[in-house]
Amino acid sequence: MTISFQNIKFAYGNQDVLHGVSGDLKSGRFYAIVGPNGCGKSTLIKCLDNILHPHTGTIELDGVSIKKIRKKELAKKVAYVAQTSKIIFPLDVFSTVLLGRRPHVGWLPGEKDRKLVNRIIDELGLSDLIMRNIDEISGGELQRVQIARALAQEPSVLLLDEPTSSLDLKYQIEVMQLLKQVSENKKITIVTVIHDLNLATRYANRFILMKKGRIIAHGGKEVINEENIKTLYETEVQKISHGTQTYILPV
Amino acid sequence: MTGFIVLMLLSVAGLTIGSSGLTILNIPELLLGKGDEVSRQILFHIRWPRVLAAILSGVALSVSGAVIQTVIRNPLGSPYTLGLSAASMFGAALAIVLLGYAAQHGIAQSLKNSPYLITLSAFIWGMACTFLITGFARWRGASPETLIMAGIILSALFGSATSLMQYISNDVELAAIVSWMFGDLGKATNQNTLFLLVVIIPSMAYFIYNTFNLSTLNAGDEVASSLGINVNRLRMITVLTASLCTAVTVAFFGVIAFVGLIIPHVTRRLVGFNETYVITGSAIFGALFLLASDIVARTIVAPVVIPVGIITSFIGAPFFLYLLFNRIKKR
Repeated sequence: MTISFQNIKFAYGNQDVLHGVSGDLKSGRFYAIVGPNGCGKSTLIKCLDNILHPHTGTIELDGVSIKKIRKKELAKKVAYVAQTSKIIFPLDVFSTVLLGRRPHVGWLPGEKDRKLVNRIIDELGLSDLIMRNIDEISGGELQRVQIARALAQEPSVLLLDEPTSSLDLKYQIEVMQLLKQVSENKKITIVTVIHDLNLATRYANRFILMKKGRIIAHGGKEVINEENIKTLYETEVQKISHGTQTYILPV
Repeated sequence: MTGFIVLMLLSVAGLTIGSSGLTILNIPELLLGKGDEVSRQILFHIRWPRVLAAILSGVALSVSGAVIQTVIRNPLGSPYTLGLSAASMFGAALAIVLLGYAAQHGIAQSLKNSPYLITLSAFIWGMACTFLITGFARWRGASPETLIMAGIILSALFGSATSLMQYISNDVELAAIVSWMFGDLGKATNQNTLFLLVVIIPSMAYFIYNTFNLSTLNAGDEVASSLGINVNRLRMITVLTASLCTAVTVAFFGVIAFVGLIIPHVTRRLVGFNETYVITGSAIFGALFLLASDIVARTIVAPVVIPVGIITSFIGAPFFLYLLFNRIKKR
């Protein structure tokens, strides 16, 4: 499934956030959207899932405008993992993942939905936590639960808003590894907003660089270079290669 | 199942406890149309509407509290927190004072003793407050924080307006206003309980139909939206429906405090956070709690019957404090 967005403009009140961004997200790829705070990365992925509505521009899924797709139908194609928010009434892990079946069921989920959710929980190594409330599990486990819930939607595209931001190194790697597996094994397009350039270059294969509401570069690993990073963050960096990996270090 | 059995037992207790000498043994014959007329009147026109009113009000208040807590993602949510009770109280006080003024000046004498005008005014002001809050929240983007803030502001405003009504009222009107403030199931009749039933059945059907949708709100608005939910519409219809149930209850029986606030929390402790269980559990526990509270209200200083609203406040306030401190301790 290809997401194509053209000339997207969005503002919160009087504050313009996106200034006419355009691009194509092709099927089965792992995209990382990087850029400084407040540059419109999160806003862009929320627009792509119709959570926010752009003031101008078009977003199409395989050539069909998302405005013409019913919310429930869109939810069968595109899933979204939000930044971790405060949990007020914590559901258990199973019930949280089961929420992902919402677009596929009428009133309440049935046996088929429960079986699918059990399988996903098993695949993501969450079986031991299945009856635990989500406020009783670690940040990394919670992030896996959110991804499991998104996978229960059986989407073609998975959008994630800073899935590693509140995690320690071990869980950051675990979550990114999981996303890579999902991308490769299930052929789901992954689009993640991420701050850590080294994690991004290690796992993602396509990059979108944003600054002040505009896309300044996009492409493969070659776009993560000293010049672009300096333009993005106004900081001198050095790109170091080690084996097949490249690392970005501040000078 | 246990809840239903306890509810049945409490209902029988509610029908038979009292000063008339009516016992459980009399009920079958009265149901078959036998027995004396006085006992029949007591059973079918006093005790039965009162028990039914306790059950229905308990269901309405606690389920309304539960769903509002979910949609505004705030444990302190309830139609009362959104200003409904303060607005209804003002509506009743305004009607009492205006009717008193009209009677003093020879206007609309026939309306002087009409309790329905007071009920209608309480209902209209309660719903007007809800429409004001939901309209304001919609205008400002319908965030849960906006709803709570607007509720606090409007509660203060209507509280002041009620104080003004009390200040300008005479002794009789003041007594009527104070009496109305305490929720009292003694005002139950077959007519108003039937009306309540007609409002509650479709409302509960709406909540139960939307249990899975309401559960998605626990994951946050953005995730719920990405799951295909029209979040603003669900929130608005839920708040309006819950407020309707509460407004009808408050308009008929007055303010019965704490039921909508504590019962959902007790339910969540007992059955977890799945909305299907929270809603059905709140309905059962709310009915049980109000029925038991009303039996206590009728018996604790018998033959004097005290308003059930006082009992629920006495039980509810310390219990809520206990829940609060327990939660802090747990953290």
